[in-house]
Amino acid sequence: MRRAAADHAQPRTDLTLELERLFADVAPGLWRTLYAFTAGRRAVADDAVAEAFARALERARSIRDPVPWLYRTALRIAAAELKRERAERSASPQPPPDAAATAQDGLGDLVPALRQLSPAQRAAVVLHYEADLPVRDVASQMGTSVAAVKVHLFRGRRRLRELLGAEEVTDG
Amino acid sequence: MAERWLHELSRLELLEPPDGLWERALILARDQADAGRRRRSRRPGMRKMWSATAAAVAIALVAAVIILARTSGPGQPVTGRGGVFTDPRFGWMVRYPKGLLVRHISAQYRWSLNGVRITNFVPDLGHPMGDEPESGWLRSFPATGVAAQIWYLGGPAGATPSRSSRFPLHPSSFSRIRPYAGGSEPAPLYRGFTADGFAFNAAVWIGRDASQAARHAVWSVIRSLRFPSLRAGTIWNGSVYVLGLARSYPAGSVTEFPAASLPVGRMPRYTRGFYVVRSPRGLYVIDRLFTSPSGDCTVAFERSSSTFSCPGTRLRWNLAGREVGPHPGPRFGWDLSRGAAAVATDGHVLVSRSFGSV
Repeated sequence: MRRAAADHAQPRTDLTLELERLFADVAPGLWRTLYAFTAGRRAVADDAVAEAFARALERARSIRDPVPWLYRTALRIAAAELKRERAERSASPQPPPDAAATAQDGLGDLVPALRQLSPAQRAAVVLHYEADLPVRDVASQMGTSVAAVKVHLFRGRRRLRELLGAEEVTDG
Repeated sequence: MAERWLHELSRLELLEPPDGLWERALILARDQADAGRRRRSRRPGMRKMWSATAAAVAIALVAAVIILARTSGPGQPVTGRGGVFTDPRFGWMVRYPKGLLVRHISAQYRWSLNGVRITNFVPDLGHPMGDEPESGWLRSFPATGVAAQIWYLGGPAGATPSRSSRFPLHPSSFSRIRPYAGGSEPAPLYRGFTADGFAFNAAVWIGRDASQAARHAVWSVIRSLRFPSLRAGTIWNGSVYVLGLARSYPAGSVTEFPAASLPVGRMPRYTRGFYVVRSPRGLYVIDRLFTSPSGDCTVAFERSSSTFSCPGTRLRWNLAGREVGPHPGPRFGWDLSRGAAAVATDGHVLVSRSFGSV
């Protein structure tokens, strides 16, 4: 029984408990942001969230404001992975992965549209509209200026309007 | 009201991250801490970085305990008092007797995997094969071992299982199949089963020298599988409307569920509600929203003629959703959208956008 119990309930420190609570609060929103940022690449979003929290576990005591730190870190990890994949694909072209999965997610229109945006536009749009961050915080997460974020938002919005439509619809 | 692109963006709220991400983060942290320790042991001069690495060492200690608990003595028999395992996603339960090791399995491959693995030995997880679910541990299956696995592997929407399988699952309903991984894996006994609108898998492995008690124990786990009772008027599993009991929808009945009568959840919805139709061949759902090139309409049902219609137009459909009235263009595309409904193990009718069409 001891072994079975240990198998289920891993030993925890206060630090891991604290981060586990933070994970419960932050991970769903962070994962959705990364899903949109990676234009439906579930695997990349999963890896980036897990890796960001793993790094947070290592450095927890030195992180002053963990939520923006997690967003910044996860976005950098995802961006690096996308860059690596782009390089690999240019060497051996393949169809974009996860297409069937995005249709399964019920986002068959949104995800292809997000793919039409540049990574910076996607990051700005998802951080502002999905993660609900003010422009100043988006700039800080992206490591760029407020003015640049406003440009990315303007262009991203314009492109999404072209691709998905600007007419008013009810949320129901 | 919102612009369409913003409305589409808000649909992201319907998504949930996969299970098991936190566990992945813990494992990654462990690995990184181990790697850090190895680097430091090669470069003693770096030891002055105590403050920066204190957290990493703490994690490494935690991870070491986790590793010990998880992987010590692969193949060794286990002891334990037994208990009940409840699946975190679907809420189904199995009761396991003493001497079995129970582990929730969950992963996000191309599709999401969720289930449980039960063994009377410590499985060797050190040689993954990368399949779904992971079967590398089966390659070093002890001769006295027994194991069972019950799992759900999500994938593209296919035919929705409209009827739940009969429980308890009986050993005679399992068929022997080829080993998944080879090595010392005994040929598994396998069956698929359906419950509450979803398809599941169950497999049992019995080593050639397994005792009668061990064989009995592993089958008792399979026999104990039960799905939870559902409550009408709620959303189950984050995506399924639970309606009344199937017996409350007599053959030939059409029951209207306007959108406002449905519980609100973060899931793909029938935006204008739906009708549940009980035909002699089973239950199905007719979407109340009909979209044609000339615009949308809310489909009405006329009991006197048993037809659906678009008010203000001459469009008419029969109970199966086939267009029967005059139509202004080619016939294709003028039928109503007809979705699958399922009957849960406890008899409730289940409806979901994620179920397929019929």
